[in-house]
Amino acid sequence: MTTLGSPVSAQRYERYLAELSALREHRVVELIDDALNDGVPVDDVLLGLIAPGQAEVGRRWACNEWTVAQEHAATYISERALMMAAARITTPVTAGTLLVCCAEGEWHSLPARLLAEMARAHGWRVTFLGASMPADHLASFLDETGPDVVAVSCSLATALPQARNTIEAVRLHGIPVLAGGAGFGHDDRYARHLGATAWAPDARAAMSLLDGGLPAVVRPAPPLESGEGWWRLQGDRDALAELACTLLAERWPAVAEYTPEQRRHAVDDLGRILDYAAIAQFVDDDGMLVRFLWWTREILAARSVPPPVLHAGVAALIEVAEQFPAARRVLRAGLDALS
Amino acid sequence: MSLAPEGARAADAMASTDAVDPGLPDGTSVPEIDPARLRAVLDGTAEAVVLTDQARTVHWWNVAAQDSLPALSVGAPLNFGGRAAVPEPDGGSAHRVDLGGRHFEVRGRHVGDGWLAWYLRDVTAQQTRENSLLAERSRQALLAKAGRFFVATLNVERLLRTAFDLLAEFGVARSAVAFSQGDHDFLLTSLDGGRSHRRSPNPVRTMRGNHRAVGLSGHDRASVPVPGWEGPVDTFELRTYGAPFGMLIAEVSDVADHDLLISFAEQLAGSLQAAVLHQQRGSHTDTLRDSLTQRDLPAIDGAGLAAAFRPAVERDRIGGDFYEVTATAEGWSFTLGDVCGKGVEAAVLSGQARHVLHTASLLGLGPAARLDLLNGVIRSESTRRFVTLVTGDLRVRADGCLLIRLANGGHPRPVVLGGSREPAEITEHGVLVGALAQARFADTEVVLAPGETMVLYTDGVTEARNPAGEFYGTERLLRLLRDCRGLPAAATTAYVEHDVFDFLRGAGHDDVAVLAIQATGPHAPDEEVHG
Repeated sequence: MTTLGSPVSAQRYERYLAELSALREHRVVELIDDALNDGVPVDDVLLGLIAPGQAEVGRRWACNEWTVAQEHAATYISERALMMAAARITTPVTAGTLLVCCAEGEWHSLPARLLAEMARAHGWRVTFLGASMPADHLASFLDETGPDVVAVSCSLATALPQARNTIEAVRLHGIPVLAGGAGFGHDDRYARHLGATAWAPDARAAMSLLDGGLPAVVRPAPPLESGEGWWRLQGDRDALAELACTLLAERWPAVAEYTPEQRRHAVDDLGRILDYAAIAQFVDDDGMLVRFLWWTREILAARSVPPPVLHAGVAALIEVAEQFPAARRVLRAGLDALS
Repeated sequence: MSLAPEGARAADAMASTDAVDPGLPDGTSVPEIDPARLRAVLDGTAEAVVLTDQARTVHWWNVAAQDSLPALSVGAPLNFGGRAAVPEPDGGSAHRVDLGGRHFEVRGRHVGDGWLAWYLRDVTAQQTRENSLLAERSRQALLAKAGRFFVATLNVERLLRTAFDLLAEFGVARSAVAFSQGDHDFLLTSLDGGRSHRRSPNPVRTMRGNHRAVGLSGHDRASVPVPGWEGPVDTFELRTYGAPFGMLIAEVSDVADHDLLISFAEQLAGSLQAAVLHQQRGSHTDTLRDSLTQRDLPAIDGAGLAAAFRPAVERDRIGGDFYEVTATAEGWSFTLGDVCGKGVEAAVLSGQARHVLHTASLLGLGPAARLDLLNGVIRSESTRRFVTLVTGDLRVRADGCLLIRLANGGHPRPVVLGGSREPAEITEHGVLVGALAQARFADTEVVLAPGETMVLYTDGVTEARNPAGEFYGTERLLRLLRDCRGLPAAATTAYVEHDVFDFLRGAGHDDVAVLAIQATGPHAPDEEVHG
């Protein structure tokens, strides 16, 4: 990749973010076009405009600043911007074949698509399978295409068990797996635990791994002992969240007076705490739940739900999860971290 | 007997036939044996015996020891060659040492008066048997491993890469496989022990021509053309059902044993044949799928089109739901449908339905008339199959509005929504197409103002069932679509798809198809996509 041309200036990014925030599709596309015409390399357009722009979209959604609909609208614009930049890639194929996909249940496909386009710009022959790819569908793709490397993206930690299925399927084919995305956290710990061949913190790091750091053939992944608890919890997850909400309503009159809509939200929140407790077991790290609870506490504070309610919610989950000693242990660790 | 530990050298003492103490202690019935006799006795055993003092200084040895430990010398420390350790005497487990290519089990014993006796038993034969048992076991383990890896992939190239990698583990640095498939011969080689494929853009060299890979078989080493290789190779036929279809070519190696490679080639042959068959079948399925399933949507000035399609969780991804938008004389026609059943038969029916509808719209028939025609065609074939679908025509008016005329054949009702327009279902339900001889269908007209969207979907959406057994349902869809008012078509379909699969939480599902058509209005550069 050439490094000639001007990198993205702060001004350019500010303009881009402003138009993206206002959801002005045509202006965003024009700005991408301008940047490319001004000689900004495709790599820098991808990593200096589109990636941070979309990260900001994700942040606003996560903090409830934006609705899901706004997030979808902005994501759609980021995707158009990405396609616009991708259309300028003319690099001939000089490297191997790469298949890029998202773990099943992972619908944030933009980071994966960004890597796919980066790799194309670096001479890889790329197949992009988009969002949420079930491992068994992927397996039949692998039988048909047999790529050199598979990159699996996971933006939310809740899709890590499905990412593990992907990793298993890919390694069964002897193919190395590169793991990336915010769901894998800030170091290679989860990726290694789940059996990935390598982990990349961002698209640039992924490119340097692709360009020379991966074995040609890998062996099937050893079984994942920590996966058991997660599977067991799946079947009862809804019932437990429902039960915990009932318990919570008995103790907090305010909760008892929730509208059906509010109650549905509360059950959703409790279910998500259980999800993270299960994921914490899956990746063998209590910190997974602890960080989620801290983050939830902030979100709830923004919705002016008092912190003791969260505390009581986790306590209620511990009570109702008596059949799941491992989940209980993680929840207790979470409760301790909240106090 | 007396073997003085100090003063006289024991070996010297024993070597001298004069140094005899014939005295018999009182009260014993066992006669004292003279040292010469004792020495003769010890020389007669096959076991090596060495006598040392506490400091492991050698004093005496027998004939067998002379043969096994040629470096023995009186006064020198006991040593088993090189860095081999001298074990503790009276130790529990046997200690093994290798001397001059033979294996010995060493035991040390206190024999009184500060003397230590060392016994070395030659266990070479036993060791060889054990080694071959171990080798057999590791060979079985390697073959078992190969078997496990081989069944995991049906991709020819990946399979062979794994095979080359395993061969490297067995000690075969370079290997290749030649085989015939149809009229083509293929040669795949491991480069650097199968580890540097990634950089070679096309590791499969196709050898087109008359000489089939099978023709290379037999064991004529010279005729095996592996480019860039020198040195001898071994070849192993790859056979299935007794017929050879290729061969494994392995660089001759001291390490890998021939029998192992024969067994390996047998396993590889079966898996390779399966992968080749799969690839052939796969390409048939690809062809069918390409011609029968989703195509890219056209770009229409004034209308935004988007679709989301998620096939049921099955490997055979043809049949079931389909959609398409095609150009007509006066505008565009669109269809979204769901064929009952799965697999190739369903795919054929869906192909037929599309063909009939397409022809009918070229003939200028309206949506309801097209459904009448299709109903008749399916009925006339006396099959018990049917299809549900929505089909319609659309035209972009000068004012930017979309004029849509559509008819419903027993399909979930389309939903219209917009900036200030609450999501609402339109058209009648209609009857299944192909189910009733007397079925009649009706046209419905709808106008979409700029920003307004019509969403078509299949029952894979509303009948999606989560692990708790609940259905996604029309109500949830309509609630979700309220939030989609003003969103671009692509964001709407992505949002619906995402929500359905969130709801499913990993549960199995039927085909899920969503098609959104939006009036985008006259092109305005600063138009906001979200109201």
